[in-house]
Amino acid sequence: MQLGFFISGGAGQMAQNRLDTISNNLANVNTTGYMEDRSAFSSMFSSKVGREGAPDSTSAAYLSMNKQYISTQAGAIRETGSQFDFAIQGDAFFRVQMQDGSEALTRAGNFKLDAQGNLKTQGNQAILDQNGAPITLPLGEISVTDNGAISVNGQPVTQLGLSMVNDPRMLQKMEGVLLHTSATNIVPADDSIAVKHGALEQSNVNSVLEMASMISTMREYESMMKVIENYNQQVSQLNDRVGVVQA
Amino acid sequence: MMRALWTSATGMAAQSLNVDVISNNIANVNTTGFKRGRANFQDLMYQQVKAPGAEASAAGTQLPTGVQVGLGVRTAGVDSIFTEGSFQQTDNPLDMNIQGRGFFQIQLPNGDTAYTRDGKFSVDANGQLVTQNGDIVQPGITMPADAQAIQVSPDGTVSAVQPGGVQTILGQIQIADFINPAGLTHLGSNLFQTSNASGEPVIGNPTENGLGAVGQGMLEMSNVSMVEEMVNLIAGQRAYEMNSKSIQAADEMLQTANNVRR
Repeated sequence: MQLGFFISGGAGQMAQNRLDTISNNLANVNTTGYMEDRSAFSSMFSSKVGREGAPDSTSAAYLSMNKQYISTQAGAIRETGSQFDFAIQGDAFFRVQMQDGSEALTRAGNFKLDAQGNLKTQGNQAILDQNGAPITLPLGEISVTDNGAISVNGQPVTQLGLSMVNDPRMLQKMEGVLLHTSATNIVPADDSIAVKHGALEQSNVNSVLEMASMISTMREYESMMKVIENYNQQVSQLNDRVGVVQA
Repeated sequence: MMRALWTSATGMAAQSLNVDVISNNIANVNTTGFKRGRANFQDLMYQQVKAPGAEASAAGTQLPTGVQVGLGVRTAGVDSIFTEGSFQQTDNPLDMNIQGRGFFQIQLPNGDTAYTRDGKFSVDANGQLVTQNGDIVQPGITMPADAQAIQVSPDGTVSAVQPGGVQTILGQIQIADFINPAGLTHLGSNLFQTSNASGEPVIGNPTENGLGAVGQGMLEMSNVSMVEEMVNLIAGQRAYEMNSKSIQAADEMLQTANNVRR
């Protein structure tokens, strides 16, 4: 069979993958603290598919989903005036404790309290202070300074834990607007980071750009399918005409 | 089949709930003591195609980034935002409000206690202070039939002026505070009830221990900001549309694939 069938089929599959990612970004266009996914593709020589070490003897190349990265660009900050809403200005993350004791990061500052006064994410994970201990707030009116220090009824209680990452490429997403990376990649935040109380960071999805890439992905897919159609015609003509004895 | 179809479906479901919550806020823009709701969303799980740090070649090089495909969005919860609404002067002596933290305690017909920020009270046939639904305000306060004026002091003390200028203290309104008011269950009729998430009520006299002060002749309005809700409505509706476009795109792609073989 012609290689072209599979090359264009593979490219179509990649276009589907890309649409999956775009759909996920658009589904999360109103998710607080969400960071958009971007996909990057690369070509893979068809002769390399089989075995390693063989020379690249063909110009045909497969499209391969090479990598996906998280855009860590800050989203727009929206004032909400709500007591347990926090937004970070700068490249830092809130520290979150997972149920298994490991630490995760998030930009989503729409926290809530439980009945014991523990500060939690919307997914019920504990928020950590700068020493890595879960934050518990007593009853009262809370106020927060720029560096994340929380006071209740004017009495200083705790300080929000903020972390930065050395290499944002190593961030992995988890369910619940959480990010995971190895402990060695995490460093405490420096003084350039400010916390805004009563505000939330919106999703950083650029909906116009997403719609544009959605259209281009769709058309790319269509043209790939056209290529398959043409191969199909070629093969059928080959089957019909070659070897036919004209009377 | 394509993940995009279901991913966008979760997006549409989430935005539809978002619009439901916004509509309820707008419907209650003139409801005394109403606290606006807000839907919070979170992304769903990610399908791991390639992990970052995975081996990229036999020579031991590693992938700097991985491939993760997200599967959509879910509603994490609908919060009530307990910011204070603005106050409206009514000059009705039985209209009360709480400036600061706290809730009025109301006894429901079944004996349970409910909590409210709505201080629009009345007097029933027995002279008892009741809500618009006829539920008794706790602790019970009974007005004498010959009261000429009712006074409520900031600490919740209710007194009546009777003929001859005699002032009688009728009782003190106590209010309840919660460590997590957002965890209260909505009962409708402006009433809230305790839940496992709200914690137990901390009952005290107004103006003591961080509790708010009781005001008279003024009502707390809804804390819904019409402009904000309208903007949220537009954003929600457009997000819904965008997700429907993703479904369309996925559908058209599948159609193209189906048309390859004629």
